[in-house]
Amino acid sequence: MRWLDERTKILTPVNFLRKKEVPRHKHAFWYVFGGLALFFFGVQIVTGVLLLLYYSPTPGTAYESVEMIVASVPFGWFVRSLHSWSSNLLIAIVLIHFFSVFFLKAYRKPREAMWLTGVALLFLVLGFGFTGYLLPWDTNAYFATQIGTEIPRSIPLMGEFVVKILRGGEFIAEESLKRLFALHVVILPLLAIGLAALHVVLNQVQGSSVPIGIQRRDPPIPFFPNYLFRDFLAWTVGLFVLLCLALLFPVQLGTKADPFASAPVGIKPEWYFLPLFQTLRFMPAEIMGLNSELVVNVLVMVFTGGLFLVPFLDRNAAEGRRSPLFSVLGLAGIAYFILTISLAYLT
Amino acid sequence: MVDSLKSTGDVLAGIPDAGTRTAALVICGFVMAVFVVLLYLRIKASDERAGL
Amino acid sequence: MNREQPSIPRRNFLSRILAAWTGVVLLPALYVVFEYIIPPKLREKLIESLKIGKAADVVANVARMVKFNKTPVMIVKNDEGQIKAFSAVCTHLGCIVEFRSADRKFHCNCHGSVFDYDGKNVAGPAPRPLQPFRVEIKQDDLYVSNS
Repeated sequence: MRWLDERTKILTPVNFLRKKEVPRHKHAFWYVFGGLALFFFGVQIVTGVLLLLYYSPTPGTAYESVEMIVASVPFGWFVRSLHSWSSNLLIAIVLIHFFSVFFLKAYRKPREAMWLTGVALLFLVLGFGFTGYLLPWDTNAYFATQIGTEIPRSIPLMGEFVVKILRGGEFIAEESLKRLFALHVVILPLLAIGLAALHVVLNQVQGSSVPIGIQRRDPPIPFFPNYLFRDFLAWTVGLFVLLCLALLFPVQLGTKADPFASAPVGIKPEWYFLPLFQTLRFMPAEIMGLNSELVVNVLVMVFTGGLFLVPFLDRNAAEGRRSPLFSVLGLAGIAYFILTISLAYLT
Repeated sequence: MVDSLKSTGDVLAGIPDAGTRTAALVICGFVMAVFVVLLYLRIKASDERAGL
Repeated sequence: MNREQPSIPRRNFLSRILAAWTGVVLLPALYVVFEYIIPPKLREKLIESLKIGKAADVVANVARMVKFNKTPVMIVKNDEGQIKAFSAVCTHLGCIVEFRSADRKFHCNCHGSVFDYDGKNVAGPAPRPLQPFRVEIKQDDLYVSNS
């Protein structure tokens, strides 16, 4: 180690990490979800690289390459199932982490930068889900992408432009597949790895936040090795859940996309896009003379902007006071999420 | 060239039967359980050292 | 509070057992990855005979390339009307050869191997002749098959 340190100064960050402590209190359990999100992200990278060895991103070969992975490549079905289920678990864990940070007001000063990087990561992870979904080029994937990339058209001033950029043209075709593949495999991973690294470094430097009014217990947990082993324990449980899903419910492949066929009955996006999907279904064609998609787009943009600004809007939390209004807003958000997903599946 | 109408069948041909997958899950479950026990013991040992 | 600390060897022992168990479990995981990355042998329908077209359409001293299963095959005809077919893959390091009508020989541009009209390696580093394919003419139709 001394040999390495003389040449790389590796002991400086290692010694810093050795001193890091994690606060103990009745809500400390929620801290584990951040590390769990990192774990599933790692699973996605490993399984994604493996799938990349056989996947071919053109409309003429994409479906067949996925079919080959599942039917002919040893353990190909398993790698694909791991990748697909892990994407769902990653999004679920990121949402749990997001809400836990929101309710525990961990976004308050001095952790605003952690909140900003975290919200950006949340949207990146959803972006991964959206871009990856088209890649098998089966019927569901094709039409889900057709719908998903149509929604931004009603954004004022730049809607048409956004649609063209996303699709690589007017319609979902070979250019769309190439573009979404590049996003999924290069652009989003580079952004995500950079932001995740920043997010983790900020956490190491600033430590974990203690909720307002909550009593800390002494002594705190040393990060190394005590909390790290707790992280490993959580990852083991997470891995077991993933294996259960991948082995008991292996992911199937639908029929190959036919752009000239009609959309199948009951087509729906993945569960994490159902709130947006169901909101669009709720809406009448026009609201106060305005196109309802335009209204939803504007609402989504306002909501997204508001989300980034939460640490700066919540003055109570910033000054170390309880903030019941934001807690109520958070509960309303969860309720809306659950309601819209349930309605989407039941109706 | 594979017929897309038969593709689901071909795909299923690559996926082992439910019995094999369940057996694999049982083995994985055992492996994870050993990990959990070892990690739990290790955490306890570290916590005692740290006075937790 | 005076707690009796566990002896250091117990923590080290547990760490070693953990590391060993991780190592044991990694072996089957690496096996799965290893099996996965080895390209699978795909069952392909191999053709045994390929109909090229009309024998009369083959032009003398102009090579025509066809795909026979996964092999590029060159069809050539000399001034005497004799049609031959060879694998276009150079026997040196696998480059695709070209037929030059000037000397009626197959030339490999990669390392300078030369094959004559019978496919025999006559110059350069190629160790063996070009693989020949059988040519048959049935009712004016030209067929190529494995020799």
